[in-house]
Amino acid sequence: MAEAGTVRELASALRARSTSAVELARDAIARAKADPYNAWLLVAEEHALALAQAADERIAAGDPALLCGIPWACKDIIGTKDVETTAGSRILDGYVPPYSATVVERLDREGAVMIGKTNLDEFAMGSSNENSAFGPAHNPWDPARVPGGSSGGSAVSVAAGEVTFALGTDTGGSIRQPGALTGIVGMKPTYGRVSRYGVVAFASSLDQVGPFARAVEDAAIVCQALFGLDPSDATTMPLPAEDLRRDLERGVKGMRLGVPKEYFIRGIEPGVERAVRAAIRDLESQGASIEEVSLPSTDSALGVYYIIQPAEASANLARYDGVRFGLRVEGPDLVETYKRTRGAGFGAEVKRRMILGTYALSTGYYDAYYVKAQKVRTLIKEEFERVFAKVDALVTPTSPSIAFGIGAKVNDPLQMYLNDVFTLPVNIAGLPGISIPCGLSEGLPVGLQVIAGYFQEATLFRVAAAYERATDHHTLRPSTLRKS
Amino acid sequence: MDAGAERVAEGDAVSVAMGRAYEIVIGIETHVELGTLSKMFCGCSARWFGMPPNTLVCPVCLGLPGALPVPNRRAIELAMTAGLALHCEVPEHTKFDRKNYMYPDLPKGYQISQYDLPLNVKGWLEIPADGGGTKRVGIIRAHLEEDTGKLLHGQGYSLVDFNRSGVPLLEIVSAPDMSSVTEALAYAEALREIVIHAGVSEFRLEEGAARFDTNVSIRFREGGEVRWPPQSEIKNLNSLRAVEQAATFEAQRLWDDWHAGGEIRSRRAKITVGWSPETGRTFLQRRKEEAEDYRYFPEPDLVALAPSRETVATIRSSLPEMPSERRARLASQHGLSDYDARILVSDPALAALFEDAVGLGADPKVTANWIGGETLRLLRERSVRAAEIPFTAAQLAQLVGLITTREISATIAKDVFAEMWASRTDPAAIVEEKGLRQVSDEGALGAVVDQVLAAQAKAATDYRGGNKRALEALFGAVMGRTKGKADPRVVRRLLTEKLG
Ligand SMILES: [Zn+2]
Repeated sequence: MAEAGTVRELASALRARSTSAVELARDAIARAKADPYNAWLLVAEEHALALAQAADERIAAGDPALLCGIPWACKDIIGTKDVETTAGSRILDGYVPPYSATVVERLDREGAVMIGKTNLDEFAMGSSNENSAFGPAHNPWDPARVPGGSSGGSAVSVAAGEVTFALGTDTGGSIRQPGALTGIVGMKPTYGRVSRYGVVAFASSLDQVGPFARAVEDAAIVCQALFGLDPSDATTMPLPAEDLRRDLERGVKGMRLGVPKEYFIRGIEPGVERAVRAAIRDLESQGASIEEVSLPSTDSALGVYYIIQPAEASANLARYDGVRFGLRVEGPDLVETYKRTRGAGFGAEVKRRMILGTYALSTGYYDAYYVKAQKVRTLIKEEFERVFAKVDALVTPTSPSIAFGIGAKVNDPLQMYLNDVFTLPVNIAGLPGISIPCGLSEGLPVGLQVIAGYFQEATLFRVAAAYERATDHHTLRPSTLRKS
Repeated sequence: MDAGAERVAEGDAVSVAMGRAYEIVIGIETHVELGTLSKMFCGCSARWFGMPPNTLVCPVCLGLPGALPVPNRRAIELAMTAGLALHCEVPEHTKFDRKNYMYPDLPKGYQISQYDLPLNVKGWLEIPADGGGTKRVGIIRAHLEEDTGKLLHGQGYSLVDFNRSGVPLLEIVSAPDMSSVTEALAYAEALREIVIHAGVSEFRLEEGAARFDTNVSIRFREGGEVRWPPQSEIKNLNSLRAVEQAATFEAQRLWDDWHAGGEIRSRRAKITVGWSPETGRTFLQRRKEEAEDYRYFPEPDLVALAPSRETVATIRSSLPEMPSERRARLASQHGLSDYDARILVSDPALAALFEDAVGLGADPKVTANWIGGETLRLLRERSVRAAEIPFTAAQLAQLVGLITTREISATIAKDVFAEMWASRTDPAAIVEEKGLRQVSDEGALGAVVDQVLAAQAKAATDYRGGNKRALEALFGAVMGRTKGKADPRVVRRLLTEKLG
């Protein structure tokens, strides 16, 4: 029961018949079932084996799809036909979607084998996976610590070598931050690149699906399968097809990389800053020119985010009313049934955000909060656009801290929200971002974030791959695994 | 939308009608389903009426987690068509918003609607004014939204049918420009005609596919001052009759309430009332203070729309002739009365039937009579829509030809018409087959008249003695003996000649 290999390793092993998709699936299922980190909410054994069987037939018939037969894990906020989907919440109790999200359909089409559904903060609201209705996930580097969130389970499933890749969703950093905290690659595409159809909506103008992987190339391969116009999502963009891996080998020589000074604020852990500064020097030594740039509105991003995101969430979560699906706690009348159902079904953080969002949209407050936040959002976008006229990509820390202890921040929502200060501006602007491992601090992983201009994912992968090639941080494994 | 209501505010020019105790001020918000094949944001069929519950549904119109709306381009075109037919402007920027409220027939917990940037603004339509002539009623806005599902209430439970959920709905908000119930009805009728003529909707009130919210307020002088308390919005009126009765009732109720020192005296904002056709009374639904805060915000799942000026121009240039223009043209072109023109234009299918038949040579006046008479009578009697009339314009033209050339009598024509309706057979063939051709031959008819005069000698004597009514009995007898085929004018002439 070795670790899952990379896409390229497994794809060639499958073609060499030294393994089969069914064997890979069985191994992954066994690892998932033995997972000690509470990364999985559901292991879809039969479903996975059926997919694997079909993948083997396709490979035997000469199917060249790289992802065919590759085991992967799905964040449980992404709807899967006939496989229970919880969004980490009690409110969806018993809900089995009658349709799959477009991203799942696209991976199915490639022949990838979904092993199961992974743990997350309820409705993706959180940065530690502690807001899951099904208990926190644990960080394989130190099980007493959080893996980050909200896509904690997906990050752990990859970091612990249980599957080759996983899907997460990133609304304010929910892929990149857990990627950083578990020492793997986590990537959020440009808003409009990947269909949101079938993904339980959290904050519609910010949500985007993306991959977790061990290797930058794997992330690019998965993105290649996910990207593209979806007629079912009016916010996806019709763009010409492109090879996302075309620049993986190009290196950063001659590239202009910006370092936004606002991303090295007080509050950033010294160990994190040290690792990130070292990474920037590494990139410079490979021939990139490093330039300090300024994004003055960065300060306002957190405020903007905590208006827009709860506002959208407050509407998106109104459909959980106990009428058509999920939990229903009967009351003497309609309003009481609503109250009891939602009172019992939602956790504290979800309620907190719905109250925040409802307040921000209320008559008399709408202009002061929501409208103002949208104006600042435009400013933030414009600042990024100005900077991207000068540089090819930005390099920043992904998170101000390394993985923190489970329980350490649960009683201080503001402290928790600060985890995302470096990632959420990217969502506000709708830009693509990636986190790659750039060393350790106090024995725990630190992430380097690369941000590129709109639809410049190939640039993102180029920088990330160059850094990955020149360093060996991505080869580090959690000590807990090394011991076993 | 309360936009209509906001216009009823202090400061507006006030002219209280003389001679009446109070003036009624009415504004109407009309919801009408657009005639698209599919729903507003998904591919499900929009033809929900009469379908088994929850058979026209998908993740989108059921509001399942993860489902996303995709706008129906045809619905947007139809909405613009309606707006342009109502002389609206189509702004360069428009968008969808979420209107948040929870109710079991609203699966997402919000309705996708349009708030501050509607698709159509600032239009008008013309109605006959109370004092004679015509008057313009302003259209403040006409925006797109999605319909809700339907609740079916049982004993101690309710069921939800989502077939109607997501059907495209146009909400047309008038200015408070109607100053009587008659004008309100004229507005509703004019709007219905325009919407149908523009090919936007069939406006089926009877199916709940069109509904009216009617804002009623009263304005009057008291102690030298003009009083205009906030209005009552009567929700969900589903027939013209309901608009008429509810508005009449509510205006009088407000007036009585004022004099009884009731709630209206302290009213600061509009109230919402319902209408019970059973009791013939309105009932309070909620006061403004209890009004829901819909927390509108831009729909993030949809991109803003920027209707191109070319699209607007194309739609405008392909607008069919509007009812008022068509009425004027039919009246002048064919010498029809205003009444006839109004009847024909009340439904584009009737107008088309008329114009096609006349185009084939039928006499306009006679054709108009047969459409406004027998055709309408049978349509109503059998609850058939004008678009589903079973005979063709050519058949109608043939029938009118048989009448104007006096080949068949008016009495026989009714039978031929009924037969043509039932069997779709050409009228000439019916006449031929059944031998219904009118008899005008004076020799043949003279013989029948002689027989009748002989058989009813008493009636003949009475007539000659001055009882002119006796002639009718004799006439009837002649027509009876000829089975209605006799030319009545010839019969009358022969009778008076022979009796004279
Ligand atoms: Zn549907």
